[in-house]
Amino acid sequence: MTIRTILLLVPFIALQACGSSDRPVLAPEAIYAEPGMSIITTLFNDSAQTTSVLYGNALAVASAQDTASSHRSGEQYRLVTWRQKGNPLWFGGNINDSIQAVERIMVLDDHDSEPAIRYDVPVGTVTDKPGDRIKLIFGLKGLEFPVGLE
Amino acid sequence: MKRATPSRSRTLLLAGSLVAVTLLLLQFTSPEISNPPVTGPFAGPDSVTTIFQHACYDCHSNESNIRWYDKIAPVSWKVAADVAEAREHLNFSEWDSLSRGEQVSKLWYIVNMVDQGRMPLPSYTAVHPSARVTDDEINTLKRYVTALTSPPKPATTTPATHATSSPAASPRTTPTSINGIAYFDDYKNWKVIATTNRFDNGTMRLIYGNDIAVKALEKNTINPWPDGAKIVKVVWDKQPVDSLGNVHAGKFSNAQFMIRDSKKFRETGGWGFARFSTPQLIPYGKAITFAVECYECHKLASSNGLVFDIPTKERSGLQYSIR
Ligand code: HEC
Ligand code: HEC
Repeated sequence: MTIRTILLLVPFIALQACGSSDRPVLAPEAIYAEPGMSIITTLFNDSAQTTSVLYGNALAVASAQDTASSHRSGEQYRLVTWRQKGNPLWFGGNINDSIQAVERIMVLDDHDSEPAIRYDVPVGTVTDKPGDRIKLIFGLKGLEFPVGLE
Repeated sequence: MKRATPSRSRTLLLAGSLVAVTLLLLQFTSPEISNPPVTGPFAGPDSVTTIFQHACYDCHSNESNIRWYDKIAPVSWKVAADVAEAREHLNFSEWDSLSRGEQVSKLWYIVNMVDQGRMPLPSYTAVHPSARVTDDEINTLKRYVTALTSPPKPATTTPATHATSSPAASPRTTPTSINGIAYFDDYKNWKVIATTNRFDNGTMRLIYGNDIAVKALEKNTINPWPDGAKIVKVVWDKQPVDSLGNVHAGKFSNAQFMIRDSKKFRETGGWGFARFSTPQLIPYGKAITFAVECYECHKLASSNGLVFDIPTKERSGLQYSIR
């Protein structure tokens, strides 16, 4: 009887060591990377279930930090939009899923009062009118980042 | 099958009685679990309190109801140790000693511990099935914490597209966490590996990874992550939702670092943790043990090598949010 008692205790103690661990399937393709592009800002939309990051080249980054609303030729913007999902590991947070669309703006010419702009959507589709999208993207200002000492 | 010879069975009997006597003697060493007074009990809705009572109170309160079979040594030793440790971490009988903010973040932590089956301790539910928390009960808890955290409706919904772009005064010396991790700006040139927002604490974030971290994700070598991997999370307050339904980042809140060095940071799962708050980048943590708190909660992401925010294919199906 006593030996059986001890045997019964073994699984009780052994259970202590196990936890549930479902390995996730990684999706590195959801990481957006284009050389020369830096972060301008980030936004998300719960009704559309999307989350976005606006990237730009150096000229675009400078323009987004600027309070003036003029744009110079050579500015390049990429608005990357991901589908959004609940964080699988934390109830209370949402996280980006796969890329839904990439929108691209290039400022071609700034000689006139209305700069010449090329807008296209190299990845995915966007239903809103290009004019509205350009207005949205140009309205986005740069994030506040901390600055440490080197 | 051979029969046990008389001498063999005599040996067994002797061994058996020896074990019996030892067990009996052990009972004198059995620790007593006392129930100190309940000073400031958890006071949520009944539907929630009932769940905590049946599933958690034996360990996390001063109202432990220890069954007779838990009082038998050597099981009683483990039970007493669990209760002592559990009360130290979380005590529903002293809930009032936490600030309102601490209570809310503790509740989110609690919901996630239960959601992932980490609490009640699986070793405990194996012996005490009545302590199990059902899926319905988990949903009750989720609804409760979500309602607790509902943001006040913003007065106006003017399109708020502008974050303050000029950083406020930066620190005069390099901010350094008590565990030796110094703040650096390098991450601004790294890739963003995830973007997240939290409806439990009103913030949104970008998560950056250095080349070693991104390669580890590409090659799926994150269990464990290689030494030299660095992950930085930058946190901003959310602005009120605008007329298009967009939520933009507001003020910078803090930056959090995870630096992989399996030897140096062995005590915290091989990750060095640091947090720098406000534009002055004030390091978080008064004692070096602050990182244990980070590590403990990050164990909920142990399937990802302790990192929550990585791109995965698994779809949770449901997007949680509160409007
Ligand atoms: C058999 C005893 C036992 C039961 C029952 C139990 N816990 Fe625990 N709990 C522990 C122990 C021991 C720890 C500390 C060590 C650890 O994290 O494993 C702990 C830690 C925790 C923590 C971490 C607290 C912190 O701040 O570090 C949370 C949260 C928690 N438990 C929630 C719960 C909830 C909620 C329930 C009921 C649904 C529950 N526990 C039931 C024993 C228990
Ligand atoms: C109560 C739980 C909890 C505690 C305590 C905690 N974290 Fe986290 N941490 C999270 C969650 C959940 C996420 C992912 C969601 C998000 O915020 O984007 C996260 C994300 C992070 C990330 C981004 C990488 C990743 O794992 O997703 C870093 C870096 C980080 N935390 C650092 C810290 C540091 C440093 C501390 C201690 C000062 C800390 N954390 C304490 C829950 C916690």
